[in-house]
Amino acid sequence: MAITALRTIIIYVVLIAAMRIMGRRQLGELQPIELVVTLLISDLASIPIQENGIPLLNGLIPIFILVAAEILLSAWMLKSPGISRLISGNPMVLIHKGHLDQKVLKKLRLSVEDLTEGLRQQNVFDLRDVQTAIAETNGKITVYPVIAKRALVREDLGGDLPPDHGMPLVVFADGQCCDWAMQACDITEQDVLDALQRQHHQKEAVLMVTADAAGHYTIIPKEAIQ
Amino acid sequence: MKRVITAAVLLVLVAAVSVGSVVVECHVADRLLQDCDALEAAFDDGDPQLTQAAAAFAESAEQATGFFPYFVYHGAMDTLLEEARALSALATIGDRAGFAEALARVRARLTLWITTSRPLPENIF
Repeated sequence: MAITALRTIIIYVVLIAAMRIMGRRQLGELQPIELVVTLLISDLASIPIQENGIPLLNGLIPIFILVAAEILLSAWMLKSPGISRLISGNPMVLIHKGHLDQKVLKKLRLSVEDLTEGLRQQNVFDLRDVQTAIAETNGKITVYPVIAKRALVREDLGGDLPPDHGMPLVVFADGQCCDWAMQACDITEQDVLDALQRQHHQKEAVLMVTADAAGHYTIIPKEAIQ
Repeated sequence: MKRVITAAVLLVLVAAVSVGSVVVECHVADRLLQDCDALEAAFDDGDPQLTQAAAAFAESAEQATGFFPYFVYHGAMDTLLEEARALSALATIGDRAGFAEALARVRARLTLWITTSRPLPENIF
């Protein structure tokens, strides 16, 4: 039992390291090669955990090879669009200028139900509302609606636009300042502490602070929870 | 670029471990096969030192394969060591037929070990 527990911990640590090495691509929408690697790794990792008679290295070596192969192949795909097309394929236009291309639908082996389901997931309930729909390489359908159904944006209203202060970010939470967020807002730790002092807050009594590039701070104090 | 270097280093390490394990496995199995030959010669000659030689063989097999569990299926290791230990017991009680049979089994297992650990097409596919 102790061996199984220790093996599980080792595999767990190795898998976390593997996911970190492979990077964020592995955690987002999976392309074909990432899907293959993720499926294989999850299966390989479980074998030495379940079977104590198998050397741990027999499980770890294939994981290392898959991780290395995935990184090298994705680096190669980045350098060579031809390889990228070969491995991941091309996005395909399903609906163009409101016209459904049935040949593409057949080529992708998508049924009408699959298409309408994909459109519904994009909040499109009528095929006539679609100007262009593209089947992406990760299997998702991207929709560009006809002009009458497109969301109104500020630009459409004309006139002067207010200054853009950027997105408010959490610069302080759990008693600690967040370096990358402060950097993005172009402020320092001292600015955050000054903002707290200006609004008469103790650092220890604050749950979180958000800030934007214009120096607007929102401070949320901790509540006494019984 | 850092990731690519990490991947390359991982591949080199994996290659080193894989090649190293095959070389070590084959080397140890070859040596044990030679010891088996010596044991067989002693058995055929009716050497009075056969019991000691069989005990030494079992001990040597155990020592030589001490780190094998890191890369060899534990079940395969256990069977070989059990049979090597049986050789010593059979020599002690003077069971000649049993000794010959156990020795043949150890030899077959070692030969199979060498064959299956090599990256040959029949093992890969």
